[in-house]
Amino acid sequence: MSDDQLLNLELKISALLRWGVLVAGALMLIGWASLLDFTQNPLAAFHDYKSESLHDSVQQAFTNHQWGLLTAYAGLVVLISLPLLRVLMTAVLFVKQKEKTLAAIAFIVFATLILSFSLGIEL
Amino acid sequence: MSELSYAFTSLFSGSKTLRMYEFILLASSIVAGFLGSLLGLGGGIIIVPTLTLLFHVNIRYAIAASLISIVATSSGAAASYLKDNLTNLRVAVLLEIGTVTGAITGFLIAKKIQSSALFLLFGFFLFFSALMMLRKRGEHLSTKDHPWSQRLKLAGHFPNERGGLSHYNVENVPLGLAAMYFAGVLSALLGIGSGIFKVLAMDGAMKLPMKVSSATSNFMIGVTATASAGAFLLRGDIRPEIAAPVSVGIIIGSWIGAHLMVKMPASLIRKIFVVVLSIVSIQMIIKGLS
Repeated sequence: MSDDQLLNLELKISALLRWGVLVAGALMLIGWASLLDFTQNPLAAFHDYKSESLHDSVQQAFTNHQWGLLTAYAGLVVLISLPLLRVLMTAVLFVKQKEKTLAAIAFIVFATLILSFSLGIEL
Repeated sequence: MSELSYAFTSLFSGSKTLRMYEFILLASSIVAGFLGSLLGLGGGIIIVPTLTLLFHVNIRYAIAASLISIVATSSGAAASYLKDNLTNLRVAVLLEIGTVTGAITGFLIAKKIQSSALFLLFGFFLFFSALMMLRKRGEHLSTKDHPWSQRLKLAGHFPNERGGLSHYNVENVPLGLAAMYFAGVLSALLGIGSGIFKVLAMDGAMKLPMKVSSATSNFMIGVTATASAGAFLLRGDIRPEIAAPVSVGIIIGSWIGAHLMVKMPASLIRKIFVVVLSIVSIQMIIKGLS
């Protein structure tokens, strides 16, 4: 694979990421707009830190039919998964370039990212 | 700042007036994104103090929301970093090992650190950032290539002012990797992209050309922020009520910054920003001490 082809592929991945950011942004905007409440200050609820896992928050939102909140969460999930995708695609790019060591390093970064995510789940 | 904060919030909090906190938050985030793209900084440096000092949001939620906005700007801008042929993808991937493991460490210790200590640390970091913004960066092209760089073919070319290509080598790779670990720890602890430390390590230790280290640092920021943002999201610290307006605002602001082709006196804005950063850093330190 020539350098130009590789750059092309990189630019395609980057364009995909840019679209991903737009989709995530749109989901968050829709979700946030439906959460707007002019009768109170929603930020006041976050003055003190309360530990509540994503699992619990999403479950509660489902029970209470808070679709706006769920849409905003969907946007957050899309956004977080973009750099993961970028690292995975970079690893594939190095495989195509037959750069075994760099491909292995990129896969290690990907695996470490997955590991870091799992640390957020409190057992 | 507390008086300003009071005046700022009371202006919109009268019982007969619509409360528009979230719109002000959106507007602040647009400004943060715009300034960030203009000055080559992430939004974290602006978002965390805005959320904590003006909106009185708990610093843990502020840090988590800031991280998600960094992911948004970095992912959205990846294409423009690559097009200019300055980003060294090989160096970026190698150094991401350091930043990602650092971010894991930062996430794990963040829980054990008190909020007041986070304010203090953020305050000192802001002050350091202000000093770094005044630093004059000299251009250099290294002639020595570190054995790891030779092994991984990290050396590269970048377009110079004469329209040709300049070759550069990469020095001190292990030191750069260690510095990236430190940058990753700070990113997760403070909700920042740590671009200043990344550039410092690539510029100072690894002797990469100025433009290459800036572009490569910008490229890496999103991955560093994701490492802890994913964990913060699963733990429930990233709240859509805060993160959604902040991210949307930052996306809009940085888009305006990148596309508005007006000639802004960047050096003047930089000097004003240094003063603002210094004042905010003192506010954060005072809050940490109280």
